[in-house]
Amino acid sequence: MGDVVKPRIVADELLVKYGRTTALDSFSAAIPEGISGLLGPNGAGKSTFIKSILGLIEPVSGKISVADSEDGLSRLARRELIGYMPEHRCLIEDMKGFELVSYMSRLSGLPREDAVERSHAALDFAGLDEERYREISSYSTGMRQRVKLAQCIVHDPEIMLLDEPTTGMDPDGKEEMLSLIKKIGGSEKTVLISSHILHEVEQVSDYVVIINEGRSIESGYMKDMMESEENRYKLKVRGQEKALEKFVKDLRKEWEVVRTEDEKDQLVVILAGLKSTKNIFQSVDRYDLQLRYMRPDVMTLEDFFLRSFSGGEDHGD
Amino acid sequence: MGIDPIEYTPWKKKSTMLGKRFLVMVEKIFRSKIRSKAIWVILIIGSMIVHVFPILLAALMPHEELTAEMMRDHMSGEIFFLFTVLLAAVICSGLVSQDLKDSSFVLYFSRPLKTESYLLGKLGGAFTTMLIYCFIPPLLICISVIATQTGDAYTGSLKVLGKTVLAGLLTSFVLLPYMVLLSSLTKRKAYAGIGSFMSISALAIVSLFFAQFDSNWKLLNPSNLLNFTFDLIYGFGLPDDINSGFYSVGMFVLIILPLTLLFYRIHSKEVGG
Repeated sequence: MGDVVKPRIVADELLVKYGRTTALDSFSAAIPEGISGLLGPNGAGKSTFIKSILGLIEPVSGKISVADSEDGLSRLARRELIGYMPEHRCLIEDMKGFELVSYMSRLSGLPREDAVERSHAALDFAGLDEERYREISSYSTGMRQRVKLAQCIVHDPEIMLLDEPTTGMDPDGKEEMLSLIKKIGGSEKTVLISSHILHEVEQVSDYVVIINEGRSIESGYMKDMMESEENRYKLKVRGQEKALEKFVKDLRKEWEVVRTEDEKDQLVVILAGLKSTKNIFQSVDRYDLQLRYMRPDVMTLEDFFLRSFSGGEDHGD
Repeated sequence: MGIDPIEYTPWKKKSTMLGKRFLVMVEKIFRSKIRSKAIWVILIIGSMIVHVFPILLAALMPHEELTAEMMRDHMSGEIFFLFTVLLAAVICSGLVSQDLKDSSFVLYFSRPLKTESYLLGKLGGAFTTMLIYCFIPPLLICISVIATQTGDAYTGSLKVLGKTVLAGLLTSFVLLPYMVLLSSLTKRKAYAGIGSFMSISALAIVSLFFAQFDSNWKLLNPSNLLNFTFDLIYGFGLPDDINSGFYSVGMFVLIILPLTLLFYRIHSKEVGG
């Protein structure tokens, strides 16, 4: 993967423990400007990393630097530059949406007169209309997510940490939230989205860090990742089960079988590094199979994710 | 450039001073508390019973000057203390418990806010509300007495006024650390409120019982502790049967210990989850 241009958040060998449990283990990452995705299964350490950036968790060892600071800014100085959208319930229930955003903006350093104007602007952007004058306790999950986003961006931070921003939203709401994040990413901001939903991250991110069991197992620009496998093909064959098994065995001898998917009597195979298709047709003939289709295939983040987790081996069945 | 391609312009003005941001919390809490009906009910009833009649009486009764004894007696009134406890319990009950219930610490501490600032904000908000009952009315009594006094000893009266300022500030604050600490131990506002009131009542009963055997047991009752402080402020000194060492320990346990515990409780929320 290519080097990160202008990293805005750098984690160097972070070790974070909760009692005896290690949440981050020698975790290193460099997050560039633009939108980055922090991907990993539940419990991988995504939220712990975000909380470490904010100084809500003190690492046992390792260093975090934010926004070009070599020496690592103090906890408070870091927070001055950051907007945070937490994953879980966190809003003050007996406040109105507007009241909360305005209150948080003032705690972030906005003078009273600017706080009102900015809060309305942030809520307009997040798509919360007249509901902003209602108590938060009456809000739906989608509205809560919008308020969380508004309080995160209201003070115009350089860095935004969004922890599972679409949690609990309906499909339309999710799409809208992702398009808002894309808009933010269109500016000179650094946005780090933590998520376990691959296609959401794929939709908006320029850069991805894959984390598992507290370690960064892969990171890089999406574009580079997708182009990392040339001559990738997807083919579907039909035939006897044993013949299909032998066919795949033959393929493995010459190419990288990225994935196989069983579909009744049919088998979908994704191959990488295919330079000539001639041998494929010969194998199909040899085992008396029907080739239903064969077409060039593009690598998805899901493929990359699965490959990262399996260390490059076939993860299909 | 900020978030420019979207519908609003970036904000690039100068931020307010970091050290003063707790004042935002003070203002927010004060505003929300004075909108509470329960607080107004206590304020009105308490002020009518405790302060208004004495103000009228003080102004109407012939007097030469404002005496320390007069103000000490007023500040040491049992009903005054009862309403102080009630008011403090209602004000403090939701201060931290609500943040625990809503899990909103993360909103505060993802911003450049230290544990100290959070506590200053919460205690400051409660303190400013308490001033309405514990500080302003005694001051008004002093002013009305001085304004209607027949004698010329204004210096003496003003000294008493100064001491009353100190007594009023202390009364407004003395119960807050303990009550905010209780509020930080539960997610239920009602538990914190009732717990505060009941625990102070329980201490008063225990103190009353054991004081038969040793007068120092009186120090267990926060009301007595406060009254002895008034004795000191107004220049009467501690009663002979009260040990000054025990008195200091009592004040430490009532103010410093809860503040310390509260600090560590909140700090664990700032760094540690």
